[in-house]
Amino acid sequence: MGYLSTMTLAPFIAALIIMLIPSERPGITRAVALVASVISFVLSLVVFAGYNWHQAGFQFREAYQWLPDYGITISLGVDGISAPLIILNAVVLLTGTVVSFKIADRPKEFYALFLVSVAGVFGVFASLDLFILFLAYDIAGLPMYPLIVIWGSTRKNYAALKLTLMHVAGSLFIWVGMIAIYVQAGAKSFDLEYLASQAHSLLTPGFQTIFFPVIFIGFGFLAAMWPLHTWSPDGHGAAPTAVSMVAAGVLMKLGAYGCIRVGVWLLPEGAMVWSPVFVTLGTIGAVYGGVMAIAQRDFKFVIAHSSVSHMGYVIVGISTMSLVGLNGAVLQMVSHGLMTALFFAMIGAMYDQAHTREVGIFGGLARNMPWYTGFFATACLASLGLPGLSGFIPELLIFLGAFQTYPIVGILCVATVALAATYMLRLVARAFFGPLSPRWASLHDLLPNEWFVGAFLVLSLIIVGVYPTPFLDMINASAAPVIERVGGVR
Amino acid sequence: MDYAWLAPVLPISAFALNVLIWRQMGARKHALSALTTLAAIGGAFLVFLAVFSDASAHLEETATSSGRHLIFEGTPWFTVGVSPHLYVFAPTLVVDWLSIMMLGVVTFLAFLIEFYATGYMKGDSRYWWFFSVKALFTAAMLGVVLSYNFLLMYICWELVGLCSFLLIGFWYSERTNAEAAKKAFITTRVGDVGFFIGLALLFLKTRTFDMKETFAAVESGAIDPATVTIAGILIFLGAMGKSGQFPLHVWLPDAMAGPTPVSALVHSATMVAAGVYLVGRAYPIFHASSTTMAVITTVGTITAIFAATIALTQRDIKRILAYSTISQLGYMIMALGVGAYTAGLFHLFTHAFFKALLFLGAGSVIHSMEPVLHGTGRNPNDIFNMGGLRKQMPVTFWTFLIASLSLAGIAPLAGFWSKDAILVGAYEADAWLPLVVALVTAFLTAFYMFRCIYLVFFGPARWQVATSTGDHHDNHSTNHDIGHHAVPHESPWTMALPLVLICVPAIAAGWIGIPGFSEGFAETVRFGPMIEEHINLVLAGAGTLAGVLGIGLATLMYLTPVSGPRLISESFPAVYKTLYNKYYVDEMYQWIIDHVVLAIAAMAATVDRKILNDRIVDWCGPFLQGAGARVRLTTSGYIYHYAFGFIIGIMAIGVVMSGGIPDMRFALW
Repeated sequence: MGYLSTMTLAPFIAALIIMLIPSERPGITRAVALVASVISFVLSLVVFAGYNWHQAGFQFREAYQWLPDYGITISLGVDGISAPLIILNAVVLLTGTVVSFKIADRPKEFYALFLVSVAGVFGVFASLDLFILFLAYDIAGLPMYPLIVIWGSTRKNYAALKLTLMHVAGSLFIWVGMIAIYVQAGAKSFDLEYLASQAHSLLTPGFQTIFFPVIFIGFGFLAAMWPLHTWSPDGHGAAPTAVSMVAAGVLMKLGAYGCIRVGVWLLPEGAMVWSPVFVTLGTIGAVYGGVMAIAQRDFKFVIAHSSVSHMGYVIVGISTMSLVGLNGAVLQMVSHGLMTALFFAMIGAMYDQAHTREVGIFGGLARNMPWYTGFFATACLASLGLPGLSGFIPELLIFLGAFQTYPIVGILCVATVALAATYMLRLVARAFFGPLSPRWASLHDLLPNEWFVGAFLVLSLIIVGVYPTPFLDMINASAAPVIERVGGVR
Repeated sequence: MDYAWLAPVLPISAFALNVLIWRQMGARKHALSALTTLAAIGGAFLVFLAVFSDASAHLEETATSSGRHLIFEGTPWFTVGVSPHLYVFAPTLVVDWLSIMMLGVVTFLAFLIEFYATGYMKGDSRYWWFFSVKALFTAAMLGVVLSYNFLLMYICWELVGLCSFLLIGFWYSERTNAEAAKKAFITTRVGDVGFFIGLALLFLKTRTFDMKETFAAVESGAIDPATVTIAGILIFLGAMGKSGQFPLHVWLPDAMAGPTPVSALVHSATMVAAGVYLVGRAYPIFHASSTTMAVITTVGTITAIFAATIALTQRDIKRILAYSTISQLGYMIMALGVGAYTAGLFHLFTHAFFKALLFLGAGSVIHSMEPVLHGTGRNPNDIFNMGGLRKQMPVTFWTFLIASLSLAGIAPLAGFWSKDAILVGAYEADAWLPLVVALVTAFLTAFYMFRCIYLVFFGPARWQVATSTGDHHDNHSTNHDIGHHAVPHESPWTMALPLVLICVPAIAAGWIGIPGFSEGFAETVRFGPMIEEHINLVLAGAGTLAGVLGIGLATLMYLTPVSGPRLISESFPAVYKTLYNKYYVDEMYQWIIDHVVLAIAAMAATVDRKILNDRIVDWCGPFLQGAGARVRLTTSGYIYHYAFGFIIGIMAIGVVMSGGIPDMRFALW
């Protein structure tokens, strides 16, 4: 067993163990979940530390035969694009596990489903086999349905059904595209590297032009690409805290990751043809999400629409076909994952006490919740792109990339930064500043486990913001070959 | 000289220390934070002194045709791209006379104002947080000053904005303060969007954020003139936001919601100076395009007179000073726009001192008025609630008077020399309209400052009237408890001492720029070769006359209480109301926000929910059900239906396999 397979299987095995624990022993359930997430987290750090930053190609490779007749191999490995996302997923797993300690309703089933979903996410990021990638992609997405329906709130049945159906609709596109690539490449292999090697031979330009949008739209569902984003506000709004953290923190990244790994990497000719279309959709998403966020009244809906806006940046960064933009897109995925995890952890902590998420009725919380205010405000500042926090550098790079190829898009994206300042500061000024109303005077500051989650994520935001160097070094080394295939580095 | 980086690093370390360690120290955190911040800023001031004493020798040694500066390149922060398209982002610092000058101004004023704040903020429950943010602010500001890389400057620039947000909203329990903080950040952000786009346009051409290379590219003509002009105007937008230039000035008066030491340092002497400093720093870009220079001149000229007229009618002492600041910043921008580089930055230098002094004086007055008016429901900032304070507060009065005379441009105080330099600059550039506006503004400035002085320090003590006869509807017990024996008093020595100390440069800072006599400033802070300056007696006379006239008119109208001012405001109600309501610019923005921005957002939200969600997305389910219901009918159970479909299918396959319609006959028959 290598690092990657252990990291991926730890939550999965923990889920199996948890199912065997009697439901009246929630303490053991939590302990098992915590142990598994710590194991995965430590292993992700080991992978990150042991990774050769400046080298392109896949590292930490493992391969196990599974269905050789169909060319399906359990083949694992990470490169500079997936390694930062693996760290992100491990952080969300750990913080999500800790923040869910307070779940009293059927914790056993909750943790089992939660851990399966996160294991699926690891599988997508670590997989070098298209079939396994697809399998893990669905394993990651499907537990969302019971998680939201059982532990959710606010129109949860509708939201869960919508999220699941849109996820499945995306999978359908991916499935068609995947089989088409498999057949067209001819060698009865799902091996990603083999498929990529055929990009300029068997996968003809005509083929790529037809199937690139199929793949990109398929993954675009989960990446909340406009206009396929509508699951996201409802889904985030309805999901319980840890599930929102996973859904917004990493599930959306699965979509964007698929767009890069399967879309741009396997079908570069198609990517070049379709670049203007998807840049346009990304820009619309960025602006649209920002405008929508201004009009929202529910904390979670503000954050969800800001996520649509930030994922719009990611789509722009990918579709500009510039190395600077792709670097920014991947780092933005990490940054956005961390900040939304922080947002949803904090909103959950508030909701547990106040039982409402209406922005307008709060006020003056800074007085009795100083830590909460500090953490939440940090997330807001990261979201509006303040230098020194994780959001600034990736947005800078995406904007520069956009300016290189589509200056108008660059201008529009930069302008949305002013929108971000508006809706984020509105939250801060409204909920935390102003006179403390007696109704909220009894609210207490964060519980120890929530404090740990908040502090951990704030620290991550600062580290990525102040010292993005290792992330960018490894992303850059692996993104360069991808961009070489789509018209070269400019 | 290579230790200049210590100047910003010391205060940011103090911030980290305060927030991470002293915060845990219980009640002692307040004293520890204040001490740490003061020590760090004091250390930064020592760094300035060392740099300053080393500077002459070192800078002359390295004097080149392109100017005299020392550049320190840091280790690369991050690198993106592959050779030959490799972009290295490295922090670069510059030491030249411009940055040395600002280094001195910022550290000197920050230190004294922090010292003043130890008295002013005494007893505040978040004393430690105040000093922590002030340390962060000082670090960020020094970062802006020393940056020689646009990206680094932009980063520090944004951090300055963050600190401004935190400090304006320091007393966040008041809803208005929170709104003011938000307004400041968002308004400057709008300018920063332009700033960033301008930088990105230049980056596209030069592929670097390094100022040296960017300036070289601009000067060598490697960038086409249109791009230089557009980028210049966009970058200037950032300066407009930070320096409160019309029409992005609206946040600055509201920013007075912050504690007065904040207003003194952040919103008069340093942060708002950052915009002017940016124009000075990136001057090669602006200077290369006459269009950009014309835009800068226009904006500065409009701002100078626009804000001065508003200041005439304001009642809040800090707002008067705020509009005065906007007006004076317009003055500087105008000077830079007409090409009077040295004059504009000279005024930035002198203005910082006397305006900080004015704000600290205003703080001292408010500090003593607060207990007097406490419980009466009357605003301690309102100059019409003051009066006769020169007896109770002599130190405040004399220092305030000197600063006002300096601002009014009376010789030989600091403001006279820099104002005169601007007049000369405008005259020599043949910029007649700016020259006239500058003179009129000088007149208005003297007038509103002395209106303020007479109402605050002379005349009857209206605060007494307030407590004995006024406000019958107020709580009488409060009135009796506090009103009758509370009398304004001079502020404690921690506040009075800085007033006296800042008074020195408010008088003398101009003496390093006397034409034909001591030209230290013109020799050092200059763009291109040094310009020989001469005293233009006509202009100096005209400038002084404008000031004296303004003071005279204010004396006539306000020294002894007569009905003159009221008569004027009542005879021209429309003019008065327009000025008092600041030309309704805020109302206009509010209208745009309410009726355009929020309306669009609300409309988009409705469309998203009602059409995109409820109609299109939710329609998919019924559609598929309906489709299923119809497709189901094809499963009829009749064998000939299936056979028919089967034959059609075979034929279709045949068509495809045979490669097209024309060959169909041969394939099937």
